[in-house]
Amino acid sequence: MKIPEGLERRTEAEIREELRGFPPPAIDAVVSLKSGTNPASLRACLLSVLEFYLPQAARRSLADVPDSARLREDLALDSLALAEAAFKLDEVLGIPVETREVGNLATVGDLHAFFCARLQSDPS
Amino acid sequence: MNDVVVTGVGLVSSLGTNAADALDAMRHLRTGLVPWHPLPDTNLPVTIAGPIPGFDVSGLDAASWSWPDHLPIDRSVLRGMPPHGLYAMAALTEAMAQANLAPDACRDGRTGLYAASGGSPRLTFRRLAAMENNAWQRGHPLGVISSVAGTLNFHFAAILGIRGESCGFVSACASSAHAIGYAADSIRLGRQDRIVVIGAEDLCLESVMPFHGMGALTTGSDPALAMRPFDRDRSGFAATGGAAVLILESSSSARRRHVTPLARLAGWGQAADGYHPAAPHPQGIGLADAINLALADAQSSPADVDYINAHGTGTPAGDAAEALALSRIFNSSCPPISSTKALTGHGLSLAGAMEAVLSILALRHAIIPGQAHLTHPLPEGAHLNFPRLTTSHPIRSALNNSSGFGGANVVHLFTHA
Repeated sequence: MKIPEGLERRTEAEIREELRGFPPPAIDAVVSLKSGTNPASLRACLLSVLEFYLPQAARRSLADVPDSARLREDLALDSLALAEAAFKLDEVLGIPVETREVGNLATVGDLHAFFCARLQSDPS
Repeated sequence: MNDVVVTGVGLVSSLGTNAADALDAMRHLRTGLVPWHPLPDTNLPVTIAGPIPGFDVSGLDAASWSWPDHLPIDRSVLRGMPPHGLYAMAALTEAMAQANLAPDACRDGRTGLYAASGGSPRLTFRRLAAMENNAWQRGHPLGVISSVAGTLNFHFAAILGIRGESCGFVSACASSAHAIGYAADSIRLGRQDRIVVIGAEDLCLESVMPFHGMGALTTGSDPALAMRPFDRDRSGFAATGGAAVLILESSSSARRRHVTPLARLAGWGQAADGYHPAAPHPQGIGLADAINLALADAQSSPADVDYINAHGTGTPAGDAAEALALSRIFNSSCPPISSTKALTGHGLSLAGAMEAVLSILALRHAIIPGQAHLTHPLPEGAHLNFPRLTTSHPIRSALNNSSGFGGANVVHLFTHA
């Protein structure tokens, strides 16, 4: 699995600045993705960033959330929050994501598979 | 008609993070203007401004913003806000507490929200540049609601759960003054029991530097002398950001809630110059008319005014026009006049609401703020009364002048409740 191009050309300091204000685990997950990319680290990175966009009333750790968890119904992410998270991942990872593409994703597994596909990687 | 009172105010300014900080600064004529170098390696022609102490909104994303620890602000509500939304959140918290309003008290349909800001030129510019770079394929999902001129009313109507009136005002540096005036009218007519008025602006290159193209900004480098309202040698304004919030309420509503009003908005007036899109009428005819209309609305006369918080931006044309307008109305017996912008900097759309708060503070605490940084009064105001120092003196009423592009002029008259 290749390192996302946008991530590869950024220094660790630039990544940390891009994610200024995000919880340290989210920043660490993105930094570790740069140094050693594998599907597990990509999944951790996606979920830790996604966690930041959960509505206040539904705030929780997503570390152990299963692939079957539904983005809207189970995690309470509305379409704008999901689009925001995708836009942030686009900024940080340099993986182009269109709002309408995110709108078609239903579960955590779908999200992971989508980004893996963008990285030409096997989600399993 | 209903009487309109002010039951709460909040102020985040270059003078500090609350109204008490600003009051202290007015008492001691302490300026919030400081050397300003947002691009350290660039030789900017403008080097003085009034940043907000204790806040950092330099990042584009609310995730990166910081604020003083004592302010209880939930970061999640800031998502999609413009940078000055953070200032507004802090000022709103202060005003709601003073008005003894719980966060859910505005959901009653009898509470409205009027807001004013120029939007966020910085977010507009940066978000559009990013879209241009990706061939207009992708844009930030909250790019519109975080940057256009109505951004404050979008966000705060949702945060407060407003079911009554919600509207934004755009008349440049008279915007938030207009918001206060129209809020008063709505309460007087019985359409709303109370209206939350918010004025806020961001201090950033994208908001400020376009004014340099007009020659409106001072290029002086001494914070104590750069912005000199009503001085013969004035050279323009220094910019600032921040937020001011006023809770306007019918006196009957305040009585029902057992809240002691801070002041009464006895009247307001507005009149345009009908002259030029940017420059004021040289004789200040619109401002003079607005003052007369405000006095008439309050059933007051010039002799009833004990303090005038002038618009006074320190621009050559603006101050001269205002001085002539004031000379015409307060010719024989001029009350003390000062522009507190010499302390705060010019807050653009925020200015009218910020100076309404400062006028109310002067009224309540019986001080007449001095005119900071004034050495040689301008010839057009030779007979006007510009005290150089702040003095303790009871005030019956305070007049608050605001003027904006397009020759818009708005004047409030505040009295004791």
